Amino acid sequence: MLRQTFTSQPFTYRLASDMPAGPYYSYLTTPPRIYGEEFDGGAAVAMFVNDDSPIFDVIYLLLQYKTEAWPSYLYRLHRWDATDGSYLGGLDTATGPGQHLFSQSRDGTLYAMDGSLANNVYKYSIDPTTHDLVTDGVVQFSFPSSTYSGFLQPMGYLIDNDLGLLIGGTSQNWVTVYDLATGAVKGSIPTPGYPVVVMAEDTSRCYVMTSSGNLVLVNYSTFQVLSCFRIQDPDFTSGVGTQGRSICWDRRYRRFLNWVYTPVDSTGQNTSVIGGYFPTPIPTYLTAPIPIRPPRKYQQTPILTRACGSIGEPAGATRVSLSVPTGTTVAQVNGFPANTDGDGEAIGYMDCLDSGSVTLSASATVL
Amino acid sequence: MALELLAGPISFSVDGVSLPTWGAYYQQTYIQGIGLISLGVNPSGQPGGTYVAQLDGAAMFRSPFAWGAGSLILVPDLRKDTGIAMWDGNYSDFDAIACAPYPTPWLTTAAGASVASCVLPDRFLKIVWDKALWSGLTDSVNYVEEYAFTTNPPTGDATVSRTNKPGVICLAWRAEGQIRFYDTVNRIQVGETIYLGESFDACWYIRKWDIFLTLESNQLKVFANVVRPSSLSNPVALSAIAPGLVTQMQVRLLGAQNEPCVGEIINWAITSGDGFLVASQSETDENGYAQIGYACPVGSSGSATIAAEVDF
Repeated sequence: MLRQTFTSQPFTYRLASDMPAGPYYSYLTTPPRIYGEEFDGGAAVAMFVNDDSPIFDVIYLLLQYKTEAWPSYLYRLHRWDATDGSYLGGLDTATGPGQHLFSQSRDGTLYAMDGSLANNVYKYSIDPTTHDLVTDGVVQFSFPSSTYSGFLQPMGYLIDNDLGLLIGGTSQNWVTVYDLATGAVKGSIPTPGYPVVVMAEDTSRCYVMTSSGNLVLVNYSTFQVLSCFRIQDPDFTSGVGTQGRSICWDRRYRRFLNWVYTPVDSTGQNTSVIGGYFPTPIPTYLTAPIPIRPPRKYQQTPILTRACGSIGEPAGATRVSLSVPTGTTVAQVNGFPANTDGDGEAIGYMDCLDSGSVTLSASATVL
Repeated sequence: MALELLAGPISFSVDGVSLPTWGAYYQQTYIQGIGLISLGVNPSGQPGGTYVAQLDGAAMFRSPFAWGAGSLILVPDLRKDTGIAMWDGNYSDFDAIACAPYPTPWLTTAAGASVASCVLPDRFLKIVWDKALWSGLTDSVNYVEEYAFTTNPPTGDATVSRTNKPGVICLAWRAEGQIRFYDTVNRIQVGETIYLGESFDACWYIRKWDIFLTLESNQLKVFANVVRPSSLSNPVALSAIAPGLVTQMQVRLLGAQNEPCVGEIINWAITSGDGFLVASQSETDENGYAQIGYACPVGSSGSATIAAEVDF
């Protein structure tokens, strides 16, 4: 679980009166519902952050909708101000990249892979006037699995042009690092689930969102796993290979942006928002206090506790306090609360005053 | 019981729900800063795979790897601080943070290979009953004896753990509950044999806190590296008692297997007769001995009774 530092406004659906009518999904406008469209309940197509001058950073979210009019669906691109989360509006994208698998490189370049056997990759950008996704249709890269052994769409991928590397997902619990030009395998890095989104974090480092909902930070030059944690409400609304696409790494504010679907209200209006999370786990569990030396009369006993996150990852700098019931004469807690270290562990002390038993409790303050 | 029990038995739980079955002992290892990693955990209503347990038994899902763990074995790889090697007939690196293996084995073994107990910087080490055997890091087929553990020689499998001393590992034998520290550089046991006092499926030494974590019948226990007192000898004078002289009185505090109890407080008192004690308490040394000075008054005669006791 991560510390939430940002919440966006919800995007809005359009009224049925503002949209063409049609024979599909009549439930959309069955009273009390009044809106003529709705997210189709599958996976988000893409989420990324773009520098939309003069607005410093804009969050984009591309969703597939259900509509009453033919052909019963459309792709809608939403925008938010990344600074304050205000909703800037949406548009029906004209480029129709709905079946493409998007990836954003460290320099902000947006790529999309089609569903062909060649795994052709195109460069996309945001038109400064229309704010729509546009592409010149030129194939930038091709990553056929015959050359890039094991690379499998629709797993996540990341293109690092500076280092000439492709970090690609497979249907196994690892990412593979390929030479971008030749497809030669440089190495692999284990992940806690198969990779669904690969997000550039810094030079040679990326976050990998996996099918288990757990995230890892890896160094793809040294092939090391650096940390592992879990974001609250990972998106797994769809099938294999499409989960978790509604997450991206905000390179400017250095946070995760995660869109999680929540049910519409009674009128059919959207309630979902985007959350921004600082990539430091906050504690969700505090272990029972355990002495690490046998208690002895008239002696001080060190007491161990551990604060950790939802997958057992350490939560440092958490203040842990020990206590005994009021009126206890067998022992007393000694000293100030202790802060957990890099392993999430803290040592407190108990003075044993007499023989007998005592119930010792531990609590943590999460700021 | 020879070592002091600090906590347990503790059952495993996931989200507060008791977990009756944990992973097999040979598919687990303890890593500082993460916890007790176990393959092949399949709680009802939760995803199956690799879980991490805290010392109080609370377990968290970490990775879907090896929900049906089969014949996989985890062994410590001492070439790295948190290194784990995974055996499936070959050796692969198992990443403790991701709780998943690297896909390419670093050693594809030949026919007849058997799994080591741990990987050292220069060789495989395999503990077979009371023998330590070694094999080259490209082999794991042909093991040769390098040391034999004597005096109450242990039997069966042993768990291997890291210690704070370079080159020294902790070996814990399941059947007898024996714990010994082994210098892998000089190929010799160091220190006394420790008797936990009970058998276990696996036992890991947590070097950061100098405690032992045992697994037995899907439950955890935490033991201090402190011998539980079992017997206290009667006070004896180290020299002749004479009026006007201070004589050292001595007792020895031992555990159930005659291991010395170190650092325990002995309370002394004169229950009858003349004289006085230099102090009312003293502490046992590394051999379990505690001493106190008894001053016999000038002109004193007869006898004095000196008592010693320990509070624990």
